[in-house]
Amino acid sequence: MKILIIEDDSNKMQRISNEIREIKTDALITEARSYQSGMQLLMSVKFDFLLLDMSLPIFDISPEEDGFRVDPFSGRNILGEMFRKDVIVPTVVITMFETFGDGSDLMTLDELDKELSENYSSIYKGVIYYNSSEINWKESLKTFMEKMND
Amino acid sequence: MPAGFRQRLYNSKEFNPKKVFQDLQAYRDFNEMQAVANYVANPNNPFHRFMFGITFARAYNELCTYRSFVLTDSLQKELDWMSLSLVRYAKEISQFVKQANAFQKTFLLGSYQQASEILETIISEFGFSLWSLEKTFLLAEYAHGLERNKKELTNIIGDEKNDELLKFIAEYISLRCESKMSDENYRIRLSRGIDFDDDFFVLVNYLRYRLEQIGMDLTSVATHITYFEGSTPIIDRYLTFITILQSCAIADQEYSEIAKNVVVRLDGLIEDLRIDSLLQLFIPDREFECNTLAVNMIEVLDNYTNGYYEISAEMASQILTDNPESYEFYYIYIRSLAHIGKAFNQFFPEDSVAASILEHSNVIIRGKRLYNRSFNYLSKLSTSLWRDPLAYGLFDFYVEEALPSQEKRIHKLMLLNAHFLNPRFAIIYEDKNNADKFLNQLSSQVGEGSTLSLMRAITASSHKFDDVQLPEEIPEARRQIYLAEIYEKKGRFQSAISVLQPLLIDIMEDKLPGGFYSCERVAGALFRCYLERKQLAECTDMVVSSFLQNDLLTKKLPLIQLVKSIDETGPIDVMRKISYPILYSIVHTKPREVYVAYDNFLNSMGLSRPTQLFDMADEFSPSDLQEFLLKVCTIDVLSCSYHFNGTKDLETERIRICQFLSEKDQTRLKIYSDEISSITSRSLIREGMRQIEVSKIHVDEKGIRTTGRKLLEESFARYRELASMSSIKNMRVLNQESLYLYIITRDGKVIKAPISTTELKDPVFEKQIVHNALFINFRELFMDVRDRFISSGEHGLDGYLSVRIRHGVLQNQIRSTFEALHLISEKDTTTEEYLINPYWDTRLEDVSVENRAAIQEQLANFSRDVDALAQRLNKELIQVKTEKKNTDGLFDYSFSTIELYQIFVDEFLQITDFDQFMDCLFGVLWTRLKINLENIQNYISVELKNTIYESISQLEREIRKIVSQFQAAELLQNIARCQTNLQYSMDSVAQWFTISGSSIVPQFTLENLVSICIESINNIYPHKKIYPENYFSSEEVIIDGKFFAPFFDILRTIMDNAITHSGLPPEKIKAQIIVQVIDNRLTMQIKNSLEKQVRESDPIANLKTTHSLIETAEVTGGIAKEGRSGLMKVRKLMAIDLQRKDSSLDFFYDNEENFVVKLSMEIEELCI
Repeated sequence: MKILIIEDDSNKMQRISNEIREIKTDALITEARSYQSGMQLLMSVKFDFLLLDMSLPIFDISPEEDGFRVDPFSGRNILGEMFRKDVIVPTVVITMFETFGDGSDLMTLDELDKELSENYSSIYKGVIYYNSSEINWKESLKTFMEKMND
Repeated sequence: MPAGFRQRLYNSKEFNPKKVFQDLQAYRDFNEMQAVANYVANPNNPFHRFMFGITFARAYNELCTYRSFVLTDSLQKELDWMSLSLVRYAKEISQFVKQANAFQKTFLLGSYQQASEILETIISEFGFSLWSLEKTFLLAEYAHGLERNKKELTNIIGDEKNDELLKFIAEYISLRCESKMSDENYRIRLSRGIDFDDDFFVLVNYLRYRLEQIGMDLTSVATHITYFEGSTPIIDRYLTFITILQSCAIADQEYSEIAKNVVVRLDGLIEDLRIDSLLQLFIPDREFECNTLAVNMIEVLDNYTNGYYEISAEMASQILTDNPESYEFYYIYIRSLAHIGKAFNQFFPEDSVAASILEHSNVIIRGKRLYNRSFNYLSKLSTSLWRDPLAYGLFDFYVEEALPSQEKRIHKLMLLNAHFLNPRFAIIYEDKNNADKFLNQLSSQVGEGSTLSLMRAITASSHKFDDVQLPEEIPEARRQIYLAEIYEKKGRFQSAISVLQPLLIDIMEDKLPGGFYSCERVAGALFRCYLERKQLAECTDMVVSSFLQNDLLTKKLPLIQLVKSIDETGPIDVMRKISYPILYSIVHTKPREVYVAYDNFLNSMGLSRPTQLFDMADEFSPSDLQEFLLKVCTIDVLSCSYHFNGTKDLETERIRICQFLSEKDQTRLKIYSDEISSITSRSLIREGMRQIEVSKIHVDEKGIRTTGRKLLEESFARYRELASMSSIKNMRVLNQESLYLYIITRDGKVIKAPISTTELKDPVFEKQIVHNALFINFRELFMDVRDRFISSGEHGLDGYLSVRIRHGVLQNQIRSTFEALHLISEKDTTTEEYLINPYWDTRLEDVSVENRAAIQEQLANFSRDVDALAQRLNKELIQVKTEKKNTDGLFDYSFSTIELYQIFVDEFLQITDFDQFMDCLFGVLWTRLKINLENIQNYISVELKNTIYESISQLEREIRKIVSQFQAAELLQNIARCQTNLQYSMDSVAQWFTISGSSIVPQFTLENLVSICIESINNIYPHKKIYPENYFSSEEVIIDGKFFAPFFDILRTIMDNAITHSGLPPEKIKAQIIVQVIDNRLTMQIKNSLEKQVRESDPIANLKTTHSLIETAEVTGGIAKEGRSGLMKVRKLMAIDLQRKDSSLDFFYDNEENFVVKLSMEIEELCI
C-alpha cells in the first residue's frame, strides 16, 4: 500500500509514520513537507492513501528555503487541485488545529470537514484531530486505514 | 365627540385621558379617530396634545420628550393616526415645505447668510424640530467649518434639560454633517453607536431610520418609527410620513394600497411635489397642470433627445442656476457637453455645494480617474442631505454608477422625490397602460415631443415581436442604444447583440460620438445579452477589451455572474482564451481563484509556465498578453502552481516576465523595473537573513596567528629545544580523574589499564607525569593557542558567541515564536512577576473572570518556564567550558592531561616546523569545534525542543482543564500552531551553530544592510516592531560581502539597544538611521527617542564613564562581559572585524533629546 503523508511538522510526521507502520507493516510511506512537493508527488505517482495536513508552507523549508509563506488552507488547496485534475486518492486530513484561518476566513474543524465532504466527496474521507499528548488520533487513523482495506 | 369615546373618557372609574386616546389610536376605527380629531382640533382644547402631540416646539428640550402615542403593530392605524395631525396642520406644513425648499436652494448655492435667515424664520414660525437641528449643523459645518458644527452640538448636549434621546440623535447628526467624514466611516461609527441589546430593537430601528436612512425599505419597521416620531413636532412627523409613504408606494400591493388610502386624504391640502408625485403614481390619469418650470424642463429634454446638445447644455445650466436641487439637470448638462466633446464649465458660485456636485458628477459621467473620490463625496452628501429631495437624486446616481447591481427601488424613490412633470416619470409605472395615461396627460399639456415619444417606446408593451418605433430625431448612436435596450427588454437578445456589437467598436474607436458614458451603457447592455444567451466566450472577450480600453467601463458590470457561469459550465472555448484568466484577475482578489483560470488556460495551451508563452507572443494581442503577464502571473498566483521548485525559481520566473514586458511595453517601464528591483531586493534580504542565520559561529584563525605569532614562535622554539633533550620512550602518564593507568607501548600507542590506589601514590608515576618537560611545554603552548581560539576578545569564539548569540538574540529568538502567537507574557523586572497578557484578556471576554485569571496564571507559568530556559541557555549552556570554568558549557574545550598527551603523541611529536605545528594545532581545535557544534545542534534539536514542547503541552492541558475548546478556540489554535513554528524556530537556532563559510551575500549596499537589519530585528521582536526613517545621502556604495556579518552585527546591536533601553513602547520609538559617505569616510548615525525618566537618568554619562577607560586599541578587554549596551562590541567589530584603523564611536543627545550613536570609519578596502 503506497501512502503519501504531506506534513511539515517533523515530530508529527515521525509519529504518524511510526503509527502507520504499526498498523500496516507493508506500508510504503512517502513524505512531502509542503504544498508544492506534495502536489508534485501526487501528479507523478499513484498513491493508495493520502494523509494531509491543512496548514503547510508553499515549498519545503530548509536552510536555503524559507518556504515562501505558510498557507493555513494549503490542504484544502491540494484537495481542490486533486479534484480539478482528477487525481483520485482517498484522503484523510490530519490536523492539530480545531479552527483555521482568521477574520472572515475563520472556520472550525467541523465546518471545514463539512465543506470538504460537500466539495470533494469522491476523495475526501474525513478528518483526524491530532494531539501529541493524546492517543485518540491513533485510533482514528487505525479506523480509517482499516476502512481502506475493506 | 362620538358618544362611545365620551363614555370612555368621562365615565370610567378613573379619569385618564391619555389612556383613552391611546385606546383610540390602537383599537378604534378611522371614522371615530377623525371625529375626535375634529373635536379636539383647537390647540386650546385640553385634550389637543393627546391627539396631535407637541406640534410646534418652543425649545429643543420639548423634542423627544412627550411620548403619549402607543406602539401598535398596524401600519394602517399608525398612518391613519398620523394623517389626522397632518390634515389638521396642512396649511402650516405647506408653508414649511415652501420655505424648506428656499433654504435648500440658498444652501446649495452657498448663500449661507441667506440660508441662515430662512432657517431662523422657519424656527420662529414652526418651532424647533429635528429638521431644524439637522439644518443648523449642516449650515454650521459648510458655512463656518467643523468647530462651529461642534459648538452647536455642545449647545444641545450641554443643556441638561434636553432629552437623552435628542442628545444621542444630535451627536450623530452632527457627525453626519461633517464634510470630511466619509460615508463609510460615519456608518461604521453609527453601527457601533446603536449596537444595543436585542431587547432594544424598536429603538434601534428608529435610530437607523433617523440617522442612516436613505433608500432603506421602511415597510417592516414603519410602526417603530412612527412610535418614536410621535414625540417630534409636526414638521418632522410630516417628513417621516412622506418617507414611509414613498417606501410603501414602491413596495408590494398590500403596502401600496395602504399608502394610497392615506395619501388621497391630503390631496389638495398640502402643497408639496412629493404628495403630487405619490398621487400621480396611484392615480395615473389624475389631472395636473404644467407650470413654466415643467415646460422648460421638457424643452431641455427634447433638445437633448434630438441631439441639440449646445442648446440643451445652455438651457440646463439656466434651469440649474435657479433650481440647484434638480439633480436631473446636472446630468443633462454634463452629458450634453460630453456628446459634443466640450469642456465642463463651472457656473455655480465657487466653493458652493452645487459647484461641488457638478464637478464630482462630471468626473463620474466622463469616467475620469478620481472617480472614487467623487463617488465618496456624492454618497456622503446624499446621507447628509437625506431630508431633501436632492439627496435621492444623488443617491440614485451613486447607486447607478458605483454599484454593479441595478436598484430599481432606489430609482423609483428618486422619481418620487424629483419633479414628476417629466416624461421619465412614466418609468415608475409597472403597467404600460398607466404609463400611457400619464404620458397622454403630459402630451395634452406640452405636446408630443421626442422625449415623450421615446418614453412611449421604452415603456411600450414588452411583447417580443412588436415593432419598435423610435423618434427619427434622435442622433444615430443614441438611437441604436435605445433600440438595443428595448430589444433587450423584449427578450430579443440576439437582435440587441447585433446592434450593440458594432456600436461598441465604433464608440470605442471614436467613429461614433458618445464618449465614456455611452460606451459604458453599451457594454452593460451587451454584457447582459451575452449572459442571457450563454455566449460566455464573447462576453469574456468583450469585458476584457472594454477593461483594457478603460477599466472604469466595467466597474458597473456584475462580473461575478459571468465568472459563476464559467465556473459552473467550464466551457472549453472560454478556457482557451487569454481573456479568461484576465477576467478572473479583474474579479478576484485571492490569488488561488485567479490561479485556477491561469492554470486552465496554460493547460489548454499545453504549457506549464508563463514564460513559455514568449515564443507564441504573436498569437495574442499585445495588450492581452501584457495584461496577462502583468496582472495574472503575479508571484502570488505563480506560487499556487506546482511547476516551480522554490522561491528562487518563482522569483526568477517573475523577473523574466518583467524583463519581457520591459522590452515589449515601454509605456510602463517604470512599473516593471520597480518590480524587478523589489524582487531583487527581497531576494537579497532573504539571502542576508539566511547568512545571519547560518553564520553565527566564527573564529578568526588568521587574526590569532598574526597577532600571537611572535610569542608563539618563541614558545615553539623552546619546545623544540626540549624535544631534542628528552626521550619519551617508556613514558607513562596517569589519568587522575578516572584512576586508570595509561601506558605507552613500544609501537607508540597509549593504552589504559586499571590502577590500584597504592600504585597511584607511587612516586615513579608522579615523576613521570610531572617531570616530562617536553609534554608540559607542549601543553602550555597548546593551551595558549586554545585560549586565544576560544576567548581572544579580538578573534576568539566567545567574542562572537557573545555578540551574535548571547546578546539578546537567542532569548529573543525563542521568545519570538511564542510572542508572535501571544503566548508569552511580559515580566515586571522590579517585582519579577508576570503581567496580565492583554491580548487574551480582551480576546477571552466570554470566559468567566475566574477562568480568565486561571488562564493568565497558566500563561505566566509558561512564560516563566520559557524565560528560565532561555536564561539557562545563555548563562550556562552557550558558554565555553574549560577545565576550570563553565562546567555545563556546551562548547567543551576542556582537555584532560591524558587526552592531550594522546594528541601530543599522535600528532605533534614529529613536527618540527612552526607553521606546520600551528596548522596541526588549529586542526585539533576546529575538529573539537565541529564536535561541539554537532552536540549543540543535537541538544537543541532534541533536548531543548522536547523541553519546550513539553511546556507547551503542559500549557495546553492546563488550558483545556479550565475552558472548553469553543471558549478558547483561538488560544488553542495558537498553541497548536506554535508547536510547528517552534520546530522551524529551533531548527533555525540549530543552524546558527555551524561554522560560517564563504559569504552568501556577495556584495551589498548600505541600504540593503539597513533593510535586512530592520527585517531581522522585527522578526526577533514581533510585537515591538520599529520602522526607522532612513536617509542615505551619498551615492550608492557597494560593499564586499565578506563584511556583511560585522556590519550587520554593529547595526543590530545598536538597534537592539534602542528597543530594549529606550524605555518607550515600540510604537512610540522614533528612530532614524542616517548614512553618509563623504571624503572617503563612512558615517552612520542611529538615533532613537528616549522615555522621559530614561533620559533623566542620563544614560550617556554612564556610558561615557565605562568607555573612557578603554581606548580603541584596548577595546577587546570588555567584550566578553555580558549584560551591557554592546557598544564595546561595536568598537571591536569596527576595529577588528572590519579592520578599520581609524574608526570612532561616539554617543550624544541631539537637539530633540534623542539618543544618538555615531560611527565613523574610513571606507577604503570595504568597497568592491
